[in-house]
Amino acid sequence: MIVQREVLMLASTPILSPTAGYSMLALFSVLWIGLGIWWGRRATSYEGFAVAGRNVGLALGTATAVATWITSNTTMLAPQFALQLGIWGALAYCTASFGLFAFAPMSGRIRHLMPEGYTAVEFVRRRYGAIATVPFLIISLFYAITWLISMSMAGGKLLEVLAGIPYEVGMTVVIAVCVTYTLFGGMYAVIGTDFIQSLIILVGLVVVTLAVLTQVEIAEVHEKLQADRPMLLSIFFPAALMAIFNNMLFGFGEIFHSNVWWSRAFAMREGVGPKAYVLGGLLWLPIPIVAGFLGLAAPALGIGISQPDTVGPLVAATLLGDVGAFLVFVVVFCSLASSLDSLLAATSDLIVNDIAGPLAPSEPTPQQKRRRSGISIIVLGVLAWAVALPNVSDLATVLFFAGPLVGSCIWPIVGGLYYRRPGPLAASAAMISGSLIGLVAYYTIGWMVASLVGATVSGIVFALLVWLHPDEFDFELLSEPVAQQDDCGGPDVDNLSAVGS
Amino acid sequence: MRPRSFGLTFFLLFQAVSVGAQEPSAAPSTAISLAFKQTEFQPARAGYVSLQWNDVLSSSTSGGTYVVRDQHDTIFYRGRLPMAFVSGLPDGEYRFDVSVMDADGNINLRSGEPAVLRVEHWSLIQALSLFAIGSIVFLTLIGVIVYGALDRSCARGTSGAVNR
Repeated sequence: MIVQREVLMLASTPILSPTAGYSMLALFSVLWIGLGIWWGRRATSYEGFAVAGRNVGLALGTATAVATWITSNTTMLAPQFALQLGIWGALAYCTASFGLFAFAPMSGRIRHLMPEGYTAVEFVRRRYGAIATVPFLIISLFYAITWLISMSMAGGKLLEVLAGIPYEVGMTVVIAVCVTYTLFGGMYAVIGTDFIQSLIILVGLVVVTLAVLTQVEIAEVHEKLQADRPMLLSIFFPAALMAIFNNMLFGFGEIFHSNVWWSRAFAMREGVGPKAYVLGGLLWLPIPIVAGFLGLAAPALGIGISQPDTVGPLVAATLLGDVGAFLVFVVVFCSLASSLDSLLAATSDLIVNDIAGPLAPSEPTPQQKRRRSGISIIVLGVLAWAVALPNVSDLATVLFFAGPLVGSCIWPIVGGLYYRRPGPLAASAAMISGSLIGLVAYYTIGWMVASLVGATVSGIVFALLVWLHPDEFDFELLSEPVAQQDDCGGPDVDNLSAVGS
Repeated sequence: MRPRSFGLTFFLLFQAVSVGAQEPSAAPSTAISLAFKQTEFQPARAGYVSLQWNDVLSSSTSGGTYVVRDQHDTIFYRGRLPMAFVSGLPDGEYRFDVSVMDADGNINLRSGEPAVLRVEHWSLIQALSLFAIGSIVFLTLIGVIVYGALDRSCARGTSGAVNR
């Protein structure tokens, strides 16, 4: 037995009533804004606002790593990968957790080298100088805004699929909620809400998984796929084989370069980062496999899929009815919020510290930086809303366009963190060449090779130029304090960390 | 027959004659057709495609659904949205049609021209080559990180930096 086919024939219609959808939207909006403002009340200094006082403990650190990496893409794109590329697709998506494992030792190194750092771009500027900062800043901003837009679009699509709430309304509310609580609480609010959101996400996913497995016979799914869509089970599925390391390197590039992860490394207490990122990776690893199974089950269950990025929520909600729809709604809403708030906070740090800061004639005061952060968060929210409003592209297309760009940042970051010899020429040439040739691969072959090509070309160029033009960087320069005075008289040691320690 | 009744009879007869003299009315212009928006595609290199057609159910109050099937009668989509995502296809040519099926399973409407898709997967040699390159990049990267992280004790600078 699988399920009643008659029910599934209407799977393309909303599962929850709009009334229930609007009620839940209102409930969670109030909850996140309330919690965010409450947690963020300690963000009285810029350091508290930007890096939560640099005193985040293991539990909060792990929770924020998990919650941030469980994006709506995990719950929506992982099933899409499975539906497009079969079993290899689900496995390819779960390799993104390797990025967290690899970043674990790097986070400790970052915290050690830059005890007063704020952003990844700041590292590149101080490590390599202006010549490498320009391409890195462009890539960082492009990626952050692309991710922000894809999250916003995912929110709108999810609410439309699950509850029939118009795309424009759902997307607007999701952005407005995240902007509001990030604006008031900064990193305190982000990490605090991430803790609650990660718990809800993990419990919700476990319940959905157990419930789905009680209703679906794996043998029947296998039989149906083998008959109608055999490539989804094929070991030698060419596109899927190409996608495996592509996705892995995309994940590496995302985490290694993005200020979302660097800001957490700066925010965690010394020694916490490596453990938190490993634990976060272990908790994240099985989630794409579970989500991917939903994508594989859809054809066997006879569920009509119109848009592949909605297959996961649709299958769960169809199989489990109102309860499933409720769970999916909660899980994905938490995933969206936990990623959107992180992006807003981390990207506003980039704008304040790496764009407005260097351009200003004098060093801004902490109060000015705090004010600029608020303005940046609002501007980013409005920008994401405006671009997401037309709903012109599917999630994978939007996201994977950034793949070659972030893939080309891997080697300059790793080399710059651990080795003295890489210089600005090697770093900038690696980023530019990897991005350009990766984009060519994106258009001529497809998204499933773009990050791989970008990372490979970037690595070759980087190695060659380090060999031809070796540098001799003094790492002491990174630990020199940046001229900065706090409006509250020094580092903000928070009580929030007590929860996580 | 009283004059009033006569007048009424004449009036009705006049009306009937004028109607009867008309040609039978033409068929109502409400004939609905169902057609794919795109019937020819570039070869699908990853074995999946999105099919779209004009929506005839949005204005309908009946409980019909769209059904998409290929030339072998394999059903790939059932639902009410005018769009279907089809994946997992091996190499070959596929001819899809879409129909509207009522609640009793009767087909009320069927697309005329099929959507024709040719699936030609990337060559396995190319895929395995990229797989091999990916594994080399991955292993090298892990080696560089591990070496950098572990070797700090052998060649560290004053800030714990590696002297390489």
